[in-house]
Amino acid sequence: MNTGQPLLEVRNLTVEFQLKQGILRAVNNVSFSLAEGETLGIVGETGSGKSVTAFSILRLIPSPPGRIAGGEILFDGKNLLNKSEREMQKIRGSKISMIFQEPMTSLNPSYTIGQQISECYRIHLGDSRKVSRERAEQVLSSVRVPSPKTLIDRYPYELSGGMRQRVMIAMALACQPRVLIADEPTTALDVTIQAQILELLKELQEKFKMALIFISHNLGVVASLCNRIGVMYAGSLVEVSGKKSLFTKPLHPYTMGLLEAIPRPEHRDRPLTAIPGSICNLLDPPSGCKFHPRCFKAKELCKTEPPTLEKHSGENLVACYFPGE
Amino acid sequence: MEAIPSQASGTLWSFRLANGVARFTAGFKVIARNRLALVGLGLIIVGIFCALFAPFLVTHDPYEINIAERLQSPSFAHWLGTDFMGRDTYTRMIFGARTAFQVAIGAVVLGAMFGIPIGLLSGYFGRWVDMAFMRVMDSILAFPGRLLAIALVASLGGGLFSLYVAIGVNSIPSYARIVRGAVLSQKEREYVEAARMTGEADTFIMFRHILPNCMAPILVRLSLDFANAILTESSLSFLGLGFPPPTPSWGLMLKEVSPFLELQPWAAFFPGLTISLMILGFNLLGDGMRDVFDPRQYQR
Repeated sequence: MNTGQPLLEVRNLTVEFQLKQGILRAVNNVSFSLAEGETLGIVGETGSGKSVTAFSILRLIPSPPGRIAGGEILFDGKNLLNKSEREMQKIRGSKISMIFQEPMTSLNPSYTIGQQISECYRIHLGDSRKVSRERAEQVLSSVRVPSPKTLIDRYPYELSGGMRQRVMIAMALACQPRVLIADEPTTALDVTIQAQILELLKELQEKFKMALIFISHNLGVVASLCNRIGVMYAGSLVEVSGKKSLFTKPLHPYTMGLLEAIPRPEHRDRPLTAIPGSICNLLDPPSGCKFHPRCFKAKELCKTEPPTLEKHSGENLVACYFPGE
Repeated sequence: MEAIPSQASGTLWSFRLANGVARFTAGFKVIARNRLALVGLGLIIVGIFCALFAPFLVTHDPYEINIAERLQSPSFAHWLGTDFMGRDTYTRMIFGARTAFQVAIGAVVLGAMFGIPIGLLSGYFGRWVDMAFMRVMDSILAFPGRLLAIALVASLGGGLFSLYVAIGVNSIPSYARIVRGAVLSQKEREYVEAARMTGEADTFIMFRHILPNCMAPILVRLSLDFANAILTESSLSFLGLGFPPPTPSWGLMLKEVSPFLELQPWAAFFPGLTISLMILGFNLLGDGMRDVFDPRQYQR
């Protein structure tokens, strides 16, 4: 899959937040790569650093208190962390784009849909009002909204959540980015709308041939969309596996726990299995492997030495001393 | 929303026009629900109408002196009576509206022109920018408003421009504070993040995205500020610091006839009433808009 140079490569990314109580390391030494047209899923609990990773790629971490403490983000072989703010503005929205979690609040309430979408064309392509409006209409019709010609003059408050998310997708796709980061785009939506949006994303990804990073806490959603899945825990990537092997042969104990915790109809007479304990305090993380206090396999070594993400089998990577069953 | 016409309504332009009209009427209906605001709006419209069409509404020349008819009571010849030099009070009041609005518009524009950008920058960038601007605003606020206006007029000399400055400077801090507060609450919204994601620059985000969403408190402030500017202009003129005689200014008219209050109360009554009504109008509209923009407070 990773033939030649990857389109986007994140190397040892570390992001810290300076808080009153101390330094919080939200993303710790995360590395992954994304090939052209590939779909990478990132799953993890709330607070595991998924969104922070996404925002770091676009350099949108609020700073202060946030700070990218180390690592590299290579896009097309160039390190985004060395770019000036002005250069980043040119990349955002045109080369790398993002869809947010909350479609209800992500649109500016005082502009029409058309004005907001065409802004992208005016900024990045320097289009005139008229041309950008036509383009906005085209991109709106590509996200399958009914009658884009009238929708374009509507205000966000007149649209439903699903429609707004489609508009957000249209905005993100406006300039045909090469990488699209979708940060839990379906969390705030109904299940039926969720399915439609996922279907749409899949279709658009093939149509525009872009790479997709899909962030979610829902394993099922990720499974339906991604060929490769990364699992994050407490700011670190603990496993990156192909879809099939992740679900059939999970390598990291945390991934195993997550899969166990999915309710299954055939096990309805058994109580739901849960991972004991709760996610660690990132201000004062445990020594060694951060998962060891909750891990059923933990040994002495896990308490002292943090494991690194290493190749296990094929293209599967895992950060555990005792991977697999 | 019933305000949105159906998709079948002809060409794009007619659709947009109909949409615009529908939105405007919808907005007007909301304001009109508040009776007092409607009264305020009515008073203001009358005032603006008088200022615009003054020459067509009057019965005399505002500068025409007729000592023989001085200090008359209201009559058919002089609807609201005459002042101590026999000038027609009604005519001078109508022309006074011109003076009042001229000064008020200039002062309000000046206050808003400086206050709004200062508030935007302070709220958006925070930290030392905020610190620096807000301390300057605090130092302006440290002076009693009217006193500062008097001091400024005294040092700048008379004339329209110094009145603009004297009255306008007073209102800069109030705009700055209001906008700053609104920006602080708006800049955390996700649409700002989304705009940044689209690759927009800070200045663009500030003026194009955040400012329009801060318009509600600004509009309220504008209305109240108009009232304040008219009152300040009147007081300055009353103190002899505003326009020189024989300019028809409400404050000046009040001052000129004040020695004859016992002799002819009508001469002072009408200019005083006009000032009160005009200020009442702007205040009612301002309060009405505040209620509309903040529905939670309205229900209480």
